Amino acid sequence: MIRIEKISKAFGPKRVLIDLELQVAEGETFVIMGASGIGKSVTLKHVVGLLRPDSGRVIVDGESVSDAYGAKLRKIRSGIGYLFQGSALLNWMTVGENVALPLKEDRRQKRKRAEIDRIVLEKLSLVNMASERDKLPSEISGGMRKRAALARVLAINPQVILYDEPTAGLDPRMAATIGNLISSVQKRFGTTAIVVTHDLPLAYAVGDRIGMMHLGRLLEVGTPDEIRRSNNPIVRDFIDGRPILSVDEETKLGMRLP
Amino acid sequence: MDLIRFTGHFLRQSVRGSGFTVRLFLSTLARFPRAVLRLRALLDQMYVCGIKPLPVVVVVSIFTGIILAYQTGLELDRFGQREKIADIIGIVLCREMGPFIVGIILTASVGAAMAAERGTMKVSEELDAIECMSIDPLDFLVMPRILALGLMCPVLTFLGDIVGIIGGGFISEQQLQIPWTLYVRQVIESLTTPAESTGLPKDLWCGLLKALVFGLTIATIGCSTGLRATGGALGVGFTLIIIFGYYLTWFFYP
Repeated sequence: MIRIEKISKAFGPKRVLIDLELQVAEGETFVIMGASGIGKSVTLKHVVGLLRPDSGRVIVDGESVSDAYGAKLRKIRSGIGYLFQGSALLNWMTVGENVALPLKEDRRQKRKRAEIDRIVLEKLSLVNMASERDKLPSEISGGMRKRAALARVLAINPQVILYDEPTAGLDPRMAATIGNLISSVQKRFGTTAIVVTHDLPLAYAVGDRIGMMHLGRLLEVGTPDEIRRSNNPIVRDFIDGRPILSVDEETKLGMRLP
Repeated sequence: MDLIRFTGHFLRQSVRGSGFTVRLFLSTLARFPRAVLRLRALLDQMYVCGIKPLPVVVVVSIFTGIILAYQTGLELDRFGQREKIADIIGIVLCREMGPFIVGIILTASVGAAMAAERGTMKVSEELDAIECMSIDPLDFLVMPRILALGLMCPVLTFLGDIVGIIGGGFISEQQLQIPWTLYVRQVIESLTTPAESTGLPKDLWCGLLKALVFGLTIATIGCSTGLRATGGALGVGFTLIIIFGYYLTWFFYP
């Protein structure tokens, strides 16, 4: 379903991705773990075509996102939902209007107002947010914003969902709620998903496979059990939560890209 | 070396920013016909750009008329030409000061708000979210704002002109003892000189045309600055208003 073929990306002199390869099968949930600033979100942005690789390409459902522009890119994106780290709800619209937005703006399927209202209510009920429909994003909590953003993602019935740090900034119970929600969405709709996180309980709970990202590529890939038992020192440092060294020291030891 | 590097960096950024802004304006211009599909957004923006700044425009314009009439009137009185005050107020306000004042007010309020709003949206990934939903950000966010400010700037200027003339008339009557009826008749006479090309009062429509250019410029720079999330909207806006104001006057009154 998703194939990342040897993509490399640099921002000025800073190399972020180096020949990154990844395949995610249809219906699979793949978790990308790794330290902050290592290129996890950058990888996701390549999958949806927000960033283009310096070399290599990303294929989603047989179509190259990296070479697509205009109408072709819009068509590919219509099958991809992206849950942003900060929810990215438009702050001048109510929760209901945010969820309705991709439906109203979809010019290919001219939906009637009643149909849009029905879908909005259905998706908000799915994430237990139906009662917050008329509130503005500024009037609800961080966890609610995440759930509302998930309802907006689900509104278009995507085949692929990309979750960027879905539990960042949430308390442990709300993080667990979001984790359960992701699992139930994956089971119910059978979507293919990539979850970017450094929240270990979430990774173990939702991932069919987990990939540890390091130095611009995937260092180790395995099932949650395999990753939990990994002997790789870098994976162990991450799982056991050993403190990081200074940037200079880590660069000297080859643990960071210069 | 640092100075050379800084200058080079500054020039490169300026050229890039200008190129981006011009491209943004041309791309948005091509989307103007689609405004009919975004009437609600357009009306919302016309309220933000036209109604919200109205009190400030009224207050500043009325006092500009008052100050202009008072300071100029005293000098004219010394030469026995005080009845000329109506012509001066009418022409100066409609041709130059009206669009200039409204342009500066809109740059500081609406233009800066547009830049800040787009910048916040960029930082909080809302622009990326819009793109991911296959929504054209220019069509959805930029076009209604540029069109609304382009339409409302001349409207505000026209209102500002009228209010400024009334302010001038008040001082003319109180300080210079020029009756209202005479003042109004002279203002109208001074503004009825038609332009050869349009037949419309030249000073008035030149001022309104300037306001249209200012409105489009302010909104384009505001949106462009926000989309690039860099500073400088206010400075660039002020500078361009002065530059465009000068060149448009030079163009119409060579």
